[in-house]
Amino acid sequence: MRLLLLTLAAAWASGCVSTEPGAVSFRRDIAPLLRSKCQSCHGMRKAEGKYRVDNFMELMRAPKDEPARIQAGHPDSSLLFEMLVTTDEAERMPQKSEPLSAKEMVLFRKWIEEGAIFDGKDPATPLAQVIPARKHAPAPAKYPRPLPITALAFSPDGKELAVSGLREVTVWDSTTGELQRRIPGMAQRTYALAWNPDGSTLTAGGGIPGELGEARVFDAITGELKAVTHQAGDVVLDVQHDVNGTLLAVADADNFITVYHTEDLSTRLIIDNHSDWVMAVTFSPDIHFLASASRDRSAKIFEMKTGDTISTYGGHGASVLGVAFRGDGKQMFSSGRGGKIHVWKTGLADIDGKRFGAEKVSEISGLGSEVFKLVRHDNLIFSVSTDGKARVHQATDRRLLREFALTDGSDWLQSLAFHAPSGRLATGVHDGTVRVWDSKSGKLLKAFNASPR
Amino acid sequence: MNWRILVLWILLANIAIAKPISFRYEVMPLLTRQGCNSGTCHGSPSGKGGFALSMFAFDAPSDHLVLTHDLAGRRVDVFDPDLSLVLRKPSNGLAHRGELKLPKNGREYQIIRQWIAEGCQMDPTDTPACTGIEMEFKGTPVLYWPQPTAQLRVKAHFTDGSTRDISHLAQYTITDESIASVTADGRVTGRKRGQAAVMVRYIEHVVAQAFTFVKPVPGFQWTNPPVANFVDEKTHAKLREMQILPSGLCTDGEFVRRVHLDVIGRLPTINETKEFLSDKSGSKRARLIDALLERQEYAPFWAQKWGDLLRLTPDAVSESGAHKFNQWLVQSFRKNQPYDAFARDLLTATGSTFQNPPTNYYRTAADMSDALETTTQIFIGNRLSCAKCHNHPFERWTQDNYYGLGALFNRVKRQAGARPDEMFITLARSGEVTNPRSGKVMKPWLPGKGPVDVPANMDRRQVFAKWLTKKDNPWFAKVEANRLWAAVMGQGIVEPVDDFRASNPPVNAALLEALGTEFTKHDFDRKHLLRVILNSRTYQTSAKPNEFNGDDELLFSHYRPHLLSAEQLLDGVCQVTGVAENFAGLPTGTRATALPTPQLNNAFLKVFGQPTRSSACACERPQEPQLGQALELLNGKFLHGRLENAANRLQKQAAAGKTDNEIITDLYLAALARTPTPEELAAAQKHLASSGKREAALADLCWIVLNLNEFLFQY
Repeated sequence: MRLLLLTLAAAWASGCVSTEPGAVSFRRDIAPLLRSKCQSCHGMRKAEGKYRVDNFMELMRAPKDEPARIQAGHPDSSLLFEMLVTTDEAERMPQKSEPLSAKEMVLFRKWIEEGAIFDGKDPATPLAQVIPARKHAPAPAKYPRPLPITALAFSPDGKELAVSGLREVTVWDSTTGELQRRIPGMAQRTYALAWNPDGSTLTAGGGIPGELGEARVFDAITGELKAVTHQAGDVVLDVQHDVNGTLLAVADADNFITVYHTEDLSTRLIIDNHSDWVMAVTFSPDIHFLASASRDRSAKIFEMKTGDTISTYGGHGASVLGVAFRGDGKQMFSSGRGGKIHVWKTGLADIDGKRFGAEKVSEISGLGSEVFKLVRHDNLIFSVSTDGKARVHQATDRRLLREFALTDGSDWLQSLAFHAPSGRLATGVHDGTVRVWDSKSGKLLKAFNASPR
Repeated sequence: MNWRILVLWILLANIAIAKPISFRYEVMPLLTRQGCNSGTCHGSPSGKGGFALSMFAFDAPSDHLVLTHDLAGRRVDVFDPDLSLVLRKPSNGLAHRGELKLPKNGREYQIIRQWIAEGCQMDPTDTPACTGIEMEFKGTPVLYWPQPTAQLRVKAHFTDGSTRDISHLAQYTITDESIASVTADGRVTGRKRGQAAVMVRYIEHVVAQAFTFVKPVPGFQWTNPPVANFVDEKTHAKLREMQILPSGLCTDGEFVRRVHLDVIGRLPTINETKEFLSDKSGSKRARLIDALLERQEYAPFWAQKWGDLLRLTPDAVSESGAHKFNQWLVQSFRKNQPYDAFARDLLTATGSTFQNPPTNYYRTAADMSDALETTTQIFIGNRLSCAKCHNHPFERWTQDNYYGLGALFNRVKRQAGARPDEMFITLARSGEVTNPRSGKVMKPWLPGKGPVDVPANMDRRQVFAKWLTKKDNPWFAKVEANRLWAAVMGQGIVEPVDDFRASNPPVNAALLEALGTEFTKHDFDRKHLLRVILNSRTYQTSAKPNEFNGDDELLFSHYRPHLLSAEQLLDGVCQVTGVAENFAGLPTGTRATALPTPQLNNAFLKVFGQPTRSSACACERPQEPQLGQALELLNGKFLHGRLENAANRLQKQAAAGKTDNEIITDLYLAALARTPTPEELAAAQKHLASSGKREAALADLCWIVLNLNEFLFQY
């Protein structure tokens, strides 16, 4: 009896996600396979045999003077299917890898037999965004060991601190260090958190390394999932609102920056100008520009109106991890590997687009070997780095104002949040601790292990 | 069984299981074993896909941070280890450009998985360190068909005195895949007759073992060929083991040409050849060898080989410096200076580069790294440059060793002298070397000895030179013996001659050992060792293979023909045609094999591979034929000019009224050290007779002979 119930439940559950009972869904069944098994060699960046499968349109495109690789309705005359099932190792796809499982081959076959139908809106949508939002496993009641703190954000009133958790976001009282509530529904990792200015929503970016990137918007009070704004093939690394909270910028390890309207989560702008992960983004104070830091060793400034690249700064010669505008928007601060904060003039691109005139003004040194995050407020630049210290520098004369450090040292600091009205600084430590400091006196106000126990 | 023992046994077994996985001694070796940290993958300086490991796991703290901290700890998930990127990708759970490297059901996967589950711990600082590894197998390293296979086991020793079986953590590679294979589990199996070495790596420890694979050859029978000295005994022992028969002796004509080229760098003259061929005494080969070793041409020819190694050029040491340094080398060979004294003179020289020419050694080797790398490559046949930035990929040299050895060469000062182009080599009183990665100051270090204390006022180079030239140095004598061998045999017992490694073993270890011993026993007398080699039947074998040695290219069963060097060819053409080449700034008649420095503007020398002397590598002289050489021989200016020259030897003979027969015979004797066969003679006579213009026909004939392989190659 019990077995029967379970079987029925499973059947019901599977029926629920399917559009038509029994039919194979491109979005649900095929796109994930293409993305995990094929796209690394047949994608936008590397298109072996000049064949791409990173969206439906490309998948179905017929090469010049050749039939399309998929013949709707006819799996046996579809070259793609033939190459999936052949026993000839030299021919079989995926190359130099395990063949698809029998079950996966049946799915492919059936989908082609059923007409190779695209069950999404726009066939040019990248696979990652075609795949339906996933339901992630729940967070454990207690954490068996502390989790590195990779993201932190103060609520606008400063009372609460949102912290990256294990498949969740945890919300803590920023004064007492008590756990307030848990917001479930995140993927394995959370790398970025942003409250909107009125404190009603909390956006979390993260994902599953090498597999999935997501930005999810939650009701900050009830914890209800309001939307999965963004999906990518690798993790989301930063989410940032503009000062008014009307825009949301998402940076991901698919090398994209996507700007959404907060109101309806429609896409405002997609920037595909970095050749490696985008580690951080930030809006200029006047919201005319957007700046980014990337693992492609550059920091860039884009014009919001057009999405055009205004300037490119390559002075780090290494991964750039953090970026911030000076208050007047005329100078930039960027940080990364190499243990320095570079200060540079924004510059403007030539009309012919050949030369980008970002020009280094000076640098701030004496930091740890990697400087992860930068936050600017008024004339202050806050940073955290591998030496376990947070620092605040004067933005005008680049003088070190204060170090926030424990006397007996600390593991890497990888996240940072600043609450301007109360002047408090929060730092997230790799060993799972959150420390809250008074930025003016340098006093440690509270340190707590941000793991539900 | 006593129950107490049983309980104890169970307890101990459980402790063994409960011991946490060691990052340094289990996880890191596996990253090497699975190929993750190789130079073409994540071990390359910039890594792959943003993931950079230290090459062959030489930097544990850095690798630990990269795995656990880097990019917000993206690569490991201690809560659900199977979701760790570092496991998902190489097990093909996610697309991985590096293919399947960690199958999920494999032991390697399970070890790394467990390390993650245990919280990705770094080893405690008091963890016993590995001091060395040992390779074991049953039986001898000679494997016979029908089962040419052996199972290797690898043991590691630790500072706490313990020994562990690390066979499942080590990486096995074979030097020659065509001869044998080795599996990831250390099973070596022969594919065909031959020799190959298995190299085992465990973190920075590398050991190698040479294996011989013997397949019975149908019809093979050892014929007990005669031996002249120990060289033949050792060579024959190896050939017999491998079921190969040596060829017979070469002809007198082949010998006279071969030995002239090898000892004094030039072809025998017509008279020298005639005299030797007509000599009927039994000991004439030995007497010729003795005579050649005392010839005037010997010293400049061998000095030139060392000028190549020492990068002797005017650019490096000035025009006059180069001249003086070359003179010093020529004198050293003329007086047959013992090789240990020769090395000491070079390595410990101080003073003016004009007054004490060996100081130019440090003028060319212009800094610590150069001095260290040049010295080790030349004198101990080890290439250390890899270890400058990371532990050596195929050898035991670590980065610490590099800078420890470097500390012996760090105090050499190079100061401008009073005269133009003069330099003074002096010693600084202080100056230490730090390993740039660890920042540690390195104490002077010597292989086999470890860190050494050097009194403050002592020349550290003396310490090195003393260690180097001691008779029990494992490399010094053998490297030079091998170099001398290669110079006359056309191929080293270790090849390349400056790449001695456990993973590049000698093709005949006993032979090399015996040559090294002979060399030390005779106080590093180079002429003596040459005499021994030249008198062996092995040196004097014919180039013609027999039924049982046709496929042997390595073991000296028959002579290996090789192209004459650029300098020898140039001299040979000049000698045969009787038209000398002029070199700028040098007296007319200077032979190319006596040039003090390379003639960079001589097209003929350049195309035939005269080295520019820009590196201390013996590889600078190309071994492979080049297209340009064929063109130069077909219609190059150098050759053509001599054929057209009315004053060349053939035209002079013609003018002097010599018969066709005489001219043809002399041409063959001059170029090939033999008389023409009746067929050759008849064909040549026919050509001369049928041509209206005798001068042109003689030029044709000479061109043909100079383009014969028999002229271009040494047989």
